[in-house]
Amino acid sequence: MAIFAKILVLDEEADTEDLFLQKFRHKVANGEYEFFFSKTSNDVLELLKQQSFDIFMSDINVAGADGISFIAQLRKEYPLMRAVVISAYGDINTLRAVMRGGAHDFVIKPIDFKDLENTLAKTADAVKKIKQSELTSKKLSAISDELDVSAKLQKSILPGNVVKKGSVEIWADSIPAAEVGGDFYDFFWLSETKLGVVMADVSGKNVSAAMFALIGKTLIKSFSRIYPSPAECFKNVNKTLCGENVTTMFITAIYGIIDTEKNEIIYTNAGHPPIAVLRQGQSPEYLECDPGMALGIFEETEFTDNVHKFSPGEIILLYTDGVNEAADIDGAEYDFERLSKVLMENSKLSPNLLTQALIASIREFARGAKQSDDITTLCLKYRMRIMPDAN
Amino acid sequence: MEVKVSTEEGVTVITPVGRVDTSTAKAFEDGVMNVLSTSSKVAVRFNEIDYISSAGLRVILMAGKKITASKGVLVLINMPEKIFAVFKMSGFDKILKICPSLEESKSFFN
Repeated sequence: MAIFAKILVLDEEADTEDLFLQKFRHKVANGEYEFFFSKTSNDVLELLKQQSFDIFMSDINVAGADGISFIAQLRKEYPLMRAVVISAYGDINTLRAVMRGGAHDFVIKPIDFKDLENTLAKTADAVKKIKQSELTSKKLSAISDELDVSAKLQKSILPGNVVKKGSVEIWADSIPAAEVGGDFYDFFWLSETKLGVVMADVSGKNVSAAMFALIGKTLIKSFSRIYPSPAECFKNVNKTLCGENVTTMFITAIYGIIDTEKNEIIYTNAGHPPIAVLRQGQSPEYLECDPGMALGIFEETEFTDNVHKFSPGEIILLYTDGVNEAADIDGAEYDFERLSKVLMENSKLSPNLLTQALIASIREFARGAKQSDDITTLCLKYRMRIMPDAN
Repeated sequence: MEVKVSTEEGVTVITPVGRVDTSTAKAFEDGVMNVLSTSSKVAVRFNEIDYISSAGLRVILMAGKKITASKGVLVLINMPEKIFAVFKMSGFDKILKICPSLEESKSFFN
């Protein structure tokens, strides 16, 4: 395939231009090469300010008093351009110096045009490859920018880590995977005594998942004000998501309302791993319920409200499958057994410390395996108060 | 992750091998969509995967929607208990055809 190369030739001899154009007339006519000619190094610098070239050709003796440093300077300022120098036979020391200074190749005077043709073709090919790799690296950097954007977007939709009010102490955290998934959590007070908590996982990654997460989070929070029942809230969130959803993304989620007067949580589940309930020194209980389908799939999905009564000092853990499905280097899964064990062993800790212990345990289990999914947890300790909360 | 494709008794059988997670879901999606562009009787066999995440479920769901729209049939076969639990947890067992084996899925294809 023909390679289009723009070649800038520096030579003070007047007939160089005619000679090149004559010898390379076919390539010029085919559009493979385009030649520009300069007689002084100042002209070269002027031309380079106006347009870019692929190859710079120069007689080493013509490139000003110090041809070697001129070539080196061009290499530094125009890293995508390659220089081919023309040197007199036997001037091996100058040649070595100029090659070390960054010239790409050389031809020996008197010029053998067959050799020159090969040298230019090889250099043009090298420039093409350099440009391609430059393009690839730009694309890679764009991808990494996108990952960065999704990580920031995901972080920005989270409400913070901590709630401490009356009976309730929450610590929530999300550790995004390298290719950011769409986990999110949320908590918001619906009244003085009712706290909404959400744990969710969007089935996708990067910017698209983060955007869908943002939509889901906003819908849940908005509908939570309209529908006092979590099931009703999800029913309407689901309907809205189905209407908008052309990407077939979906959200598995749990939404619960903690009622500090009734000491209970009323919750609904859309295809999400069950809430773990932890009482000191006991193996956790998983609140199995008939889950509705994940949000955004089937418009007519029905959800149910379920009630769990808190006992004093009890902890509940909401999490995404990044926890129980975390894999080690052999592909084995962390699983519910290990989750139960670490929860039981650390059941006396505060939500913050318990979360840290859980994350440490997953890290230890993974033995350096790449984290393939976001790990998101919301740990809530319920301190039963006999008297109504005074603040 | 590898996606094997074979034809068994007139049905195109897709067999993902390994882990279908967030980082491999795209390869799985490409493999499945490739089959869907030429075949309308499709089965996905699950006994050679260790794990499927929600990103993998999404691929199955997309495939199901696409094939239903074109009056084709998608059946999920040879699903180990552990993988079935993932489908059940997300409620997908209610909208997808899940069969113990290709043999037993015959009625769907006729």
